[in-house]
Amino acid sequence: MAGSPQDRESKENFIIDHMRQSVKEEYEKVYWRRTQEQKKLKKKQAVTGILGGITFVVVWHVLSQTIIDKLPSPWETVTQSVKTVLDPWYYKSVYHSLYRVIVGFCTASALGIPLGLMMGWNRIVRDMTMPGFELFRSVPPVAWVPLSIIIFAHMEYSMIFITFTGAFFVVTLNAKLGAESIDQSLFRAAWCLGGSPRQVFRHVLLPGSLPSIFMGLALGMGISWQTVVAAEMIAGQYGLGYLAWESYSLIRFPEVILAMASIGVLGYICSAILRSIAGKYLAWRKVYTA
Amino acid sequence: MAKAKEGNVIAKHVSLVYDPLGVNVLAVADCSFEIEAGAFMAIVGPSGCGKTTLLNMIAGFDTPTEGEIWVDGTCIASPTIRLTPGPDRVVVFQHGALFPWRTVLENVCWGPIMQGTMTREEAVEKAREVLKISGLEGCENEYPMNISSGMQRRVEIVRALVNEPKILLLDEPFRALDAMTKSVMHQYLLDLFDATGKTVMFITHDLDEAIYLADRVFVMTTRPGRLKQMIEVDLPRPRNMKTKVTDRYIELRNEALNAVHEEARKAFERGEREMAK
Repeated sequence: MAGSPQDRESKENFIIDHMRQSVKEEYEKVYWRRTQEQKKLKKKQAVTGILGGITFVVVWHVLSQTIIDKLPSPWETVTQSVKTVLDPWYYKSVYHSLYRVIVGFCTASALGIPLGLMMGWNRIVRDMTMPGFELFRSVPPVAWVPLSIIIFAHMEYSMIFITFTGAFFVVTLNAKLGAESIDQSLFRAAWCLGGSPRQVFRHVLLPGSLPSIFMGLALGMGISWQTVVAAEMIAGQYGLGYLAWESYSLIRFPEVILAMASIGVLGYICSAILRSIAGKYLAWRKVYTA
Repeated sequence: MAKAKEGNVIAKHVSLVYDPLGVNVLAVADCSFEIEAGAFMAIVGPSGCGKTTLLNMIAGFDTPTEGEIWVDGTCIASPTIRLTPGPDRVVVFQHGALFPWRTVLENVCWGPIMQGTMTREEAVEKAREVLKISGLEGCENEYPMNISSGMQRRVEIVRALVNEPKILLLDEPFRALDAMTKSVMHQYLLDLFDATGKTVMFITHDLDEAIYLADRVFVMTTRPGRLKQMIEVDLPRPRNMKTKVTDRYIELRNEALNAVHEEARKAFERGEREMAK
């Protein structure tokens, strides 16, 4: 005979608890196994990456010794670079390029994001500005160099202006695209819930456009670096583009490569900073799947 | 409650013409109806018949080209009075319109905070309370993308109700849900309706849903949308799944089915004709 109802209930509870426990253990096992697998995969990736790097250096070395004999060998480049990197003059170049990019890029963002959002938000603003944008966005930033030298008395300003134009169009147009891509029913919902135009701008238009805005910023940052280097080569004094060009003129080939590598590293750092900021603001886009 | 019920909606000969690409299309033609305060009205019709347009006019997204809409004894929309959307007539949308960049709790308190009717603390408190009643406790800090579609829809209805609207406008809110979730949501909505007594206008193309939920079903013709038939649903409340197997329910359903089917066929044939052009 079965016991009293209480007995039965406690027995059932015991069984349920036991099952829960075993399920939990099973889950933890699976989780542990999965993390182990992931760790292994990461290791594998790291090894492959290092192998790729070694292959690159070997190929470079072989090329520099055989077909392209003008190309400095990796060893030569590194020793010469260490010398240059210890020289304060190198940092002056880095500082100048970085300064131009940051000022140009920030100005472009500060003007481009609000303008782009307004273009996506208001038909009058869009109709007024769009033809101009269509016309000017296909002009490569480097084509602005002669004009900017004419306009600005100081060479530094013209350089900043060129980096600005590089970033401005892509930032603005991406902000506009972001504003236009927002689901209309989100705006309608916001109006229904009693939002004022300002509130809808701040709480719907801006956050809704952010993914696209960050995309534009990333692109703009890349173009800023490209343009600053080109501008420095054509018309610059100081800066990494100038360093590369001058090193070429002085037949210091390892320094040419150093300048190129420095541009790559700085560009990467700037993009990484941007990405980390974007990750913070776009946390809501992460979908958790169990 | 001592307070007189609010949310009486009257539409008087409402028509709407819109002209995409310069071709005038009569979307809604001469619709007149009344939704008493605290009543549940469903609008049924084939797709593209102007159901949503009708709702948009009451919500304030579209202005009628003819006719008037009255709420609680004042004319709020007519060809000369441009109505703006507001928190007294909140819409729940077809595909969901929760702000994906806000957590569930932030979504629910958004309305009161923006309107300035409550302080942030009050709004949060009220939102928590309503979420708890709706069985949504524990997902307050999730982003909408991370909860199920049925939960999203419930959050959206809660977000509307927090504003104490006179009228709740539901635009095919359960369209994208699977059958199981849908039946759960029906029960939720019925319970909610019985508890709050808000005026509800519910748009759907599903006749069963309409009869099951509403006090009155308004069957629309294919475009231009006119009133085809008004069905008074006298099924007793509270309703539950068992209501669907009562004789009266089946009787009402049969009565309406012919009307709806005829219109659906017309719409389908016209669609084929338009495709052939």
